[in-house]
Amino acid sequence: MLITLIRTVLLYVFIVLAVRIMGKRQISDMQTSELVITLVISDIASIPMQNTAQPLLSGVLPIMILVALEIIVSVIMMKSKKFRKVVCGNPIIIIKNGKVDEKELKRMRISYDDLYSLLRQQEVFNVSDVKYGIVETNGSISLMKEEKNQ
Amino acid sequence: MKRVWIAIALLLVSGILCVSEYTLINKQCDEYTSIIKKADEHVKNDEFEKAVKECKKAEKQFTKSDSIMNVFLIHGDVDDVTNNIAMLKKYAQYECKSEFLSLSAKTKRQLLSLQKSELPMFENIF
Repeated sequence: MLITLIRTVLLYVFIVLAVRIMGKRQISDMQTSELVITLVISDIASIPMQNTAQPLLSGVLPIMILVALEIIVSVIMMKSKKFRKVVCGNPIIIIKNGKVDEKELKRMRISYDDLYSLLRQQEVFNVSDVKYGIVETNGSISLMKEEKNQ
Repeated sequence: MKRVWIAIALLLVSGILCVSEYTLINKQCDEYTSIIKKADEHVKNDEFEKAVKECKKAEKQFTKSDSIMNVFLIHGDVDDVTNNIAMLKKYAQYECKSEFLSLSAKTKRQLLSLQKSELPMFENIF
């Protein structure tokens, strides 16, 4: 038990440092890849925390590599637009001049209920009030309202 | 830019850890296998006292290095080899030839498996 306690403290400090090195971001602002890496890191760390027969390094080493790769990928994304497109994808227009693009909606597997819910969260209660609705690469929606409604 | 240097440093540390693990495990396993092979020969020639000496030598060396091996390997695997070496010594002391030879073959396989499991080979990666 004492080993578990010491290991948990060590891994906690290590994960806090790792997340600090990756940079501050809210979960809602994360790109899909960043969210996946955050989840994977927490999962990897839990294995040597619970199983004391497993060397601590078997948890620390993959976290170190993931953090390093995440930083390198984010730097490359900043410098190369093409690479950014490959990793994050493109923002997609789903509402154009008050009309929902059903094809894009189906392609992104967003239901009308989900879309209306996203619109309501942005205080829009009628699709016709929206000039452009764009689904960003992190899954959030940006709206440009019709001028008369702004 | 500072973060990029941190990333490079992390990758370097990871690389150094991997290389040192591979080198250390390889070297230790080779050493123990050669000691056990020597003990095997002694047992085959009914020279049990010499075999006990070799086993004691292996046990002493393994006790010294098992703390480092535990840092890199699953503790259970290292403990298995430690116990087997202790048993080999007992079998040699009591002159149990067949038991000694079968356990030494098992221990050599375990050491080989420890070595091989760290190699970047297709079957280890997938």
